[in-house]
Amino acid sequence: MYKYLNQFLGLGYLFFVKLNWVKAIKLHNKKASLVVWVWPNYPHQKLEYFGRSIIIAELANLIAVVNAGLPYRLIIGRKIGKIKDSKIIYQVSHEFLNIFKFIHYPPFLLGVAKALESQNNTIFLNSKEVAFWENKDYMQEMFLKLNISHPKTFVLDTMKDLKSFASLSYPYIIKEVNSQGSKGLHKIVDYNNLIETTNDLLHRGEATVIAQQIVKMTKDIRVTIVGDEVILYYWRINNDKEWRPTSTNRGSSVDFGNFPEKWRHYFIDITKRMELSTAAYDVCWENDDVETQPMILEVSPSFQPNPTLPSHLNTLPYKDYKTLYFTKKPYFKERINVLVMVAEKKLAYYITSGKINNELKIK
Amino acid sequence: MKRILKRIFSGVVDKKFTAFANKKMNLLPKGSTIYIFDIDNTIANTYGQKYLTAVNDFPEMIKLVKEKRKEGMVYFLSARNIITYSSTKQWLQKRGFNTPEYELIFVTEPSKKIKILTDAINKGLQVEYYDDLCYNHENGNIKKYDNVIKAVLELKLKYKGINDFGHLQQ
Repeated sequence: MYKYLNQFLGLGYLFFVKLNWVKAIKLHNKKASLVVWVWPNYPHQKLEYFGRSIIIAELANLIAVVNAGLPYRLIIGRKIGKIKDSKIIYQVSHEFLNIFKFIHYPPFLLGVAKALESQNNTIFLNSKEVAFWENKDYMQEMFLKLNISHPKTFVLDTMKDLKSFASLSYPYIIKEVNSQGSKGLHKIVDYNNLIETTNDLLHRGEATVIAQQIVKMTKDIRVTIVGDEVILYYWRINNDKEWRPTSTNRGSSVDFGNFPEKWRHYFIDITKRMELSTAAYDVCWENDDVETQPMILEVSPSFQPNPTLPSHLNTLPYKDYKTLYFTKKPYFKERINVLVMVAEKKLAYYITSGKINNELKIK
Repeated sequence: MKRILKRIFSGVVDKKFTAFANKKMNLLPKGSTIYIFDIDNTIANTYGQKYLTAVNDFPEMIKLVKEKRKEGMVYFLSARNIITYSSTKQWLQKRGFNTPEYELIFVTEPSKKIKILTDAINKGLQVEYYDDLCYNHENGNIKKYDNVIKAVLELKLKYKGINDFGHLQQ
């Protein structure tokens, strides 16, 4: 219930406090070369659209553009197909871009990005970045190609590679290749468990999966990078003795301090190697020893950052913070502030690197 | 009464522009280099000119600003009267300096520039600052802001005064 309340209050805060409507209307210009693309599947999925984080991320993009004083065009829905010679800011989302509901949707999302680029558009995120979106087998391929350290991983076929699965030493985890957060993660403890899981995956049409060694660790760090800067980070700590995903939704505790400074440049460097302008990494270390080489569990070019726990609430479990409304810095408000900050940082990076300027199209 | 009102107004203007500058600079990563240029008699030739909108530019200085933009963000920092903000922006736009690639920051008096520069340095930015720090060009009798120059020289930034870029104004 609190999720819907946070969404509702967050939208109100975005619409009535964060967005400068006068400036937004003034800057809207049909000749602007910068396009802000929202609600890709308009007019479908109305209820879902207003209830999901995509609307907030898209509005944060719009606010960043308005605050920067850039003339822009707002394009809603499928009209995007007619856009050419433009710069397009949008939010990648399989829920709203995957209009045919493909099970294996990354190639479709990549196709959309490539089609936009083929019309001489520059898009943010570009197709090279979209290729990483919720696409764990591609991530693994790139980690190997670019020599980026990660836990021992195999890309396997659920139909053909049962022998290979069985030859791995238990326990290990199976990851569905197109999943986000801690969804699609299965811990395999024995052969029966493996058969049960692979049958279920086959039944759901998950032909390819990732099998990954479980790293001995109790915490991982989410590091968010924009351009040359680490803009956010937080540790997710598993307080259970058993392995489980460290997602905050699963009750892990969080720590917003103690950044492993030794690896700051490494994270920026691998972002450049993968040609990403923005990236969120899940990183862990064997036995939690940050002096050793970090292992990249996953990378995502698009992300939903969590706001820092306010100092006056630093002893509160993070999931309880999400349900606090009558406090100095409530979660629903801070979540919006951090999303707008990230959108502004991204835009500032695109501007400083010369990828976006405030040109008008001469028609 | 007039003096008090003027002081209050100046305070509000300075506070607003300081907040604006901080907001823009907060978006830049620590360690990045920014270039801050004064306008009058740095990139604009105000010598003997009473109307700020009618001033010519120094073409070589304009080129320098554009070159510097390739290396980092450029900010214009001027102590012009606030009522000329819009016309100054237009003057800059005519020369291809559009927001948000080039931001314009006003202060009510030259000494207030120190606050903007200090804030930028405190954010971990590397600042290169171009300013003649002189005045009275419009009357043909140039005077220096000695106290401001002294304060700037004490800051951790690269200061380029008239002796460094004067040759580009010929």
